[in-house]
Amino acid sequence: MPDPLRKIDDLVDALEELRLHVGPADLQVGDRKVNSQLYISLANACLRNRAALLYGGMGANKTTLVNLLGSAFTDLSFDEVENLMITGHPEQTEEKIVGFIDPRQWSCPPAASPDSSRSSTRPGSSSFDEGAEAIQVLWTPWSRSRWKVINEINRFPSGKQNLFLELLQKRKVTYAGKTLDLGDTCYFATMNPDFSATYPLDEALLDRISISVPATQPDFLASLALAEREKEVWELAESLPRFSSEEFERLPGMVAAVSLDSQVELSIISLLRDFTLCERAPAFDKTQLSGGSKPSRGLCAGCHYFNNPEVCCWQVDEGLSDRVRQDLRSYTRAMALLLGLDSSESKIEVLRAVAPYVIWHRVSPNRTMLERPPYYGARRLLYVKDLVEKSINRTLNERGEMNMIFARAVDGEISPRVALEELSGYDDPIARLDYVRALERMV
Amino acid sequence: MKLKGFMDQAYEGKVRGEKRLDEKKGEFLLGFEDLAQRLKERPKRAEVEDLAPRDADSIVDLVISASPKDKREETIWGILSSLAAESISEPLFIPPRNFAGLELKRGTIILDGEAPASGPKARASGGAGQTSAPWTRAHHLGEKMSGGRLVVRGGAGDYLGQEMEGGGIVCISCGDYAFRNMTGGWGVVKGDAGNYLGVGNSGGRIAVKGRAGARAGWLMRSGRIWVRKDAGDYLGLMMSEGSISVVGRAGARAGWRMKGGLIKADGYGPEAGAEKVGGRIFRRGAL
Repeated sequence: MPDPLRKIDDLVDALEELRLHVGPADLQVGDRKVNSQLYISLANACLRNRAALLYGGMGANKTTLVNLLGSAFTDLSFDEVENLMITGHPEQTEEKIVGFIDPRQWSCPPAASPDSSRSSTRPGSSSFDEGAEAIQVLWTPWSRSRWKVINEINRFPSGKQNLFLELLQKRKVTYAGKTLDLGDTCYFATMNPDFSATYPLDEALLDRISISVPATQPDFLASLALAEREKEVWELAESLPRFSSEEFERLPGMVAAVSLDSQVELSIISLLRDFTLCERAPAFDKTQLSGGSKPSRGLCAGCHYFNNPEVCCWQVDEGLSDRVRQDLRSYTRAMALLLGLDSSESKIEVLRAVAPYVIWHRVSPNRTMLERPPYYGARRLLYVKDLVEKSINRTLNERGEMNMIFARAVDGEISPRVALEELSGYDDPIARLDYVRALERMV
Repeated sequence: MKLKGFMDQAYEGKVRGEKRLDEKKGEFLLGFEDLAQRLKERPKRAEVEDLAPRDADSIVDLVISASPKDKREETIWGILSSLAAESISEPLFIPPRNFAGLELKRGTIILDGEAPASGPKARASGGAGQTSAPWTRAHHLGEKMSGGRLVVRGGAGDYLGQEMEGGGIVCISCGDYAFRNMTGGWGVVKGDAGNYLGVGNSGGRIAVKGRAGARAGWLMRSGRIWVRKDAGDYLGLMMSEGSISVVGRAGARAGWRMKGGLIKADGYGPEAGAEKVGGRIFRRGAL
């Protein structure tokens, strides 16, 4: 069987040669530069049950790129992949998205169709379930597909967005009492900036979107390259390398085989705690905050970490959930696999590159910081990237001594009291709010 | 895997499991530079004390032979000077350097002679409100003192007796921010004091036999300031408690926005007590 990674390289080359994707190399990973939109989409294709969001204005090659990749990875034609996709608009209904009750079941005996054979009853028996047992649901091709694209997700009204929340959470879809197990699926979504016809995505749904990448309009050189494209996209898509189903199924296993060393694991956990810890939040957990009690609403006034540019806690309103940890691990592995980076140093570089894309859509930076030098303004991703950089550098350099003290106390090499005394000299949120509390419980 | 093993792998042995200090404790010191190298970026008094020689003569020799190069080394030297003064029964005579008498607890230090010009912060005097002196002034003298005596036989620079909790300081004159955030002890300036004398004080006593610069007693919460000659503008600015007594005249806007406390002076410049919320301002002749 040919190596799927080699085929991915061929796919990248083909996309460029056929002028199907000509984005700039804007993602620096160690000493390599690649296109963020393409490589993050590829990383998502190597994973299962993670959702990638492509965010950008109209015509930025978001949907087309995802459909081209879908065509290559699932060995379907470009048209077939396009037909699988669902697109957001206010009149979109659950029936059109997931499935509908088969009207034929009342006019003729139920046929054991392959569609309905996939469905199963929900666990737990009730009169409703017993009644539903007889109902046949015809699941839409989108529901049954292992490559799910939700186009213009923010054109779905808020109520209908809840459907995707449930879908991404449970990996199952339920209709008329019947449940369809979605299995291992690649999820992609696209989204435009706020227009008059769009609806805001709620925070819970955003948290379930694993990674988000901005898609920009082609620059001058890219536009020249696109001008050379003479055939239609669907015609060119026929020339892309195709993956067999075995090759496509092998990819998640290859990603899982990539190991992450302690340095990366420690940096991921510290990064999460840097964003989540808050001295003034219940249980020091910023995810517990709501309404007016947020850093941007004056919660941090007078806190001694406030205005310290090296500390993340006051600079963003939201804490990060444990899903972020899982996503950081998955995408670091996937990107390291795609770029063939094995060493410990290169994996930490992969984490530095990937982490901003995993975090930036989940947090709201403090606006005052965006308006100060170096004037990030609307460049939220760049701002989060700088925060990530600070956190990782701090963990790898300055936190060494305090981490060792804590580790020795946990392992029983020194007494918790001595460790507490030592750690009291470190003015670091993790030492003060996590380590000291843990040691106090041990005393 | 144990957590220490995890951390060891993460830092690849770059961080010592035990503090550098513990490993080096009791080892032979090659000199001041050796001592400074063994300490971390912001050394504490206890850490310097652990590494410093035990016998009084060695520690005094170390203080006299040292030539600190930067602020970090100056603070180490300052703590060492205090340790030396505490270890001997007679006064310690040393040349004035920045941070001399830092965190002094007992004993006496007499700073005599000209400050070595090699110090990074040593500079010619010239702070507002003070007479120029032919010698270079050392800064941060007697900072965070909690006991003992510090005598400066010359002019002190800025931040004299900052955050002092106890003990006493005598000097000929001083620069700006003298006795800032003082909570206890006393200070005597035989000549003139610079600007911002006794800023944010919450205790202690200060006597100036010459003039005091602007904003003396700014944000003062407690304690006493006595000035024999004139005081500059904004005397007792926004003070909330304590007393300031000026035998001469005070400058403009004395007691501006003061919330409490007492100011006495022989006369006042314009707008004395402007926007005053509380406290009292007296003219000495009117008492």
